[in-house]
Amino acid sequence: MQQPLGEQIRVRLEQDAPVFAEKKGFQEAWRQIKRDRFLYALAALPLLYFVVFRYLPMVGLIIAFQDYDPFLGIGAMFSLDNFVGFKHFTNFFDSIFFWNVVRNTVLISFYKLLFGFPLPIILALLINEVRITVFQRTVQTISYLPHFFSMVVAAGIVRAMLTPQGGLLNQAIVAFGGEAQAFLTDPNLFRSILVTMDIWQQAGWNSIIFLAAMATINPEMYEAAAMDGANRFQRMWYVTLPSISFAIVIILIFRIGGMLDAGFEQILLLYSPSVYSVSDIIDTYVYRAGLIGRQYSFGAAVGLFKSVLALILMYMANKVAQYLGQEGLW
Amino acid sequence: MTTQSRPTRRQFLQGVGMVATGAVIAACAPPVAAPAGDGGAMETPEIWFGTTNPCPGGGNPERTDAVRQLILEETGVLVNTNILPPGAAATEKLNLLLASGTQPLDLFVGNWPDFKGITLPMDDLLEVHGADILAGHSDLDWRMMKDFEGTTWGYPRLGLMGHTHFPYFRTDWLAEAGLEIPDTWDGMEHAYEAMKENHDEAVIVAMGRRHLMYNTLGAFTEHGFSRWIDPADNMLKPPELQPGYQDWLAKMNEWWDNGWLQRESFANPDYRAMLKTLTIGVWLGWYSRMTIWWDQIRRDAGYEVEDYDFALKITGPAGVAKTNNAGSNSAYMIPRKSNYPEAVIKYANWIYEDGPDDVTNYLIASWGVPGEDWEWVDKEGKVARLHSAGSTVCEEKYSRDFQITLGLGPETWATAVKLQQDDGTIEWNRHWQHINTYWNQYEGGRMPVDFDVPYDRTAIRDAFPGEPDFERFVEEESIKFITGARPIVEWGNFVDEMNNAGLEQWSELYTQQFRLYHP
Repeated sequence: MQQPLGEQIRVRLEQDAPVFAEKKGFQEAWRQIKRDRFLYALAALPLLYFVVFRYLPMVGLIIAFQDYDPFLGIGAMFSLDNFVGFKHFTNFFDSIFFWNVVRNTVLISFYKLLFGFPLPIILALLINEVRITVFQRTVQTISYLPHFFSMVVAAGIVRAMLTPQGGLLNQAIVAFGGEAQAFLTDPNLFRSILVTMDIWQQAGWNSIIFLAAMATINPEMYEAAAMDGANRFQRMWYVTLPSISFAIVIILIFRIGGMLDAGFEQILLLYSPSVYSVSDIIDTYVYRAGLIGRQYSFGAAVGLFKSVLALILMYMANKVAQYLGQEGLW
Repeated sequence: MTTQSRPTRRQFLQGVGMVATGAVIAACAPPVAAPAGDGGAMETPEIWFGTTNPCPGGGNPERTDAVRQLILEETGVLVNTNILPPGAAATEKLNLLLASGTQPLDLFVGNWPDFKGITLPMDDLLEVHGADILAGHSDLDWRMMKDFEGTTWGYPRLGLMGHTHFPYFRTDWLAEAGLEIPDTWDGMEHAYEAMKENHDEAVIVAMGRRHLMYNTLGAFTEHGFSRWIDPADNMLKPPELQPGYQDWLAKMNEWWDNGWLQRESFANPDYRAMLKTLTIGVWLGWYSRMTIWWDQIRRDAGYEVEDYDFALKITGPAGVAKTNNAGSNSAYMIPRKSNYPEAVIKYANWIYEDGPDDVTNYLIASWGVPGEDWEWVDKEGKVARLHSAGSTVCEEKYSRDFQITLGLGPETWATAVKLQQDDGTIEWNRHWQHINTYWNQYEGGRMPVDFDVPYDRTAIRDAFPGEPDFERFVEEESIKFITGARPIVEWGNFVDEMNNAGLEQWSELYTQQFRLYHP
């Protein structure tokens, strides 16, 4: 049976390692690059993308420590005259909204993780158990569909559903004798709406990776479990779940690393002054201060603060995963 | 017989790679910058505006080009537009345009103190090329364009306005209840109750707290929606700390609890869609939603009876409910990076030319080429006829691309123009009639204490970085008081929180600037 591509590459690299160790020469490296030129060519554009759009812009983080005026051009970024140290960080920490935006960011992300992370796994497990192909594919298509709506369209749908002026949900409530509610302006409901919308949009799509992991499980394991008398639930519990645990952990680490991305577009499109107190997150704060308020340096400082926090979170999650016996990311 | 050599697979791939690389480099390369203009005799100055447009994608390219050519012939200036997206995204896009080193931008709109340092002083330009612009505005308008040293940073977009806030009432519902448009606070509440009695769905709609305050706060406070001088310490204070503001909050909370205020009044809903539901009994928002949006909805739907009209003046316990709109220091400005500042003023001055008696140039910038897009029916009597109906789609008409004199001045003058309809009748557009009649009628509202002070909010923000947060905090908490999320008994705590959030600093900085103009 042919090995998967990733395994082939790993074996090849292991084979090459001693050669590198022995020769260590530029010529040898060049020889190998030439040999694998198509693989390198394949990686070149994505690498270029990351260099140009992800790493080079990091130079701009310098403005977090300056009073930078973008209208003076990029040259002003490298002038020491504008250097103000940690002033913008201090201003953010002193802001009356500091704890509020941090709390909202963490809480919204946490709720999305808590409710939004297990659901794709459950959905994948259920889809995996469906034996009627047509039904399985229909469910998959329907559950993937909302992922392809742009956030503007999705937010429009949610608004149209929830508005007290003729919204579908309110029409139903009124039809049953209830009173129309302004769901989107209710601070008690707003976060729940965000989480529900997020699950509706992403659960199907996020289940794909788990379905893919399930596809790699050796069918003989199921046969053996069945012969041992395991019912379908037990097979799911004792075979499927442990077999995809590596994928679950890696995705969880990624999710925790991105935990401070609480859904900028979604919140920006749905929030209003009535619910600022429960919905204003670091990203919406940066957007207002930076792009709308033209406090670019301040915005960059807040953004950098968020990135550092995210890095710490990811590092911690990775450590915890390794501690629990999983592979982790590095 | 010739031998044709076919490229090898390697050569083919190399060729494709080179072409692709070239295409990527070409696509990423910045456009060739326009040469710095010196107004040389042979050079046609090409200028770019950053403005919003009723058609976000622009109008018909051919019609737009025809107008561009006419303007070129008339002024010697080639005009172009960077259309900004609607809403808050306009600010975002404008900031990117301003910061861009490659995209040309020669004119934009905003509050001039926010852009000081990146815009050109306009005094000399106006003196040389803008005589009509200078003559087209009042001293107050120009005062709002100048810093304390007397430097002019733009020409006026918005200034003191009397026409922007009136409470609108559903007239057919009033008639049904046997009532007239009210002129007192109690009358307003009674009118609404009567509507509600007959139509359970009737609601009062406020376009957020700001518009609600413009329309109603004066009924409970001495200064209405205005900063005010606190006699206790002779310092400028936010409107929220006026005596009477708590009463107003309590009243608004009562409206909320009674279910009178529409539940999305503070949530930026789709007001146009809301107007279409015919559930709005009282409208306490920005006037043009009625004069433009509602009027269009009414025409499209063919409503004969359903309509709205406004109260000129509502008087409450503390006096006139409405506050006039000081309009901030909104200005048309020229960025420092502009290559042709003279051409910008020259073109703007052309629009002002011969006004207010002759607004032809304004109408060219707004409607297009005379004789093709519109025509005068009676120039003296200010009657014109549009060649395309108001409902014509963007793709088929010129869409105001080169209009850079909205607000005060030429636009106000042009509101005197009436339109001849297809059936020959002459109609004065509801929106224009409204502006023309009321823009300078200030007696129906309170005058803000500091209506003539062009605050430099950038300077305030530099000195008090938490100022935007402070404003936001006051807004957020006030809404909580209205919706009952925070009980009014917590008012004292709120004031303490305002103090902790920087009230003193806010007060000092605003008072400092206020005193420059009112020693």
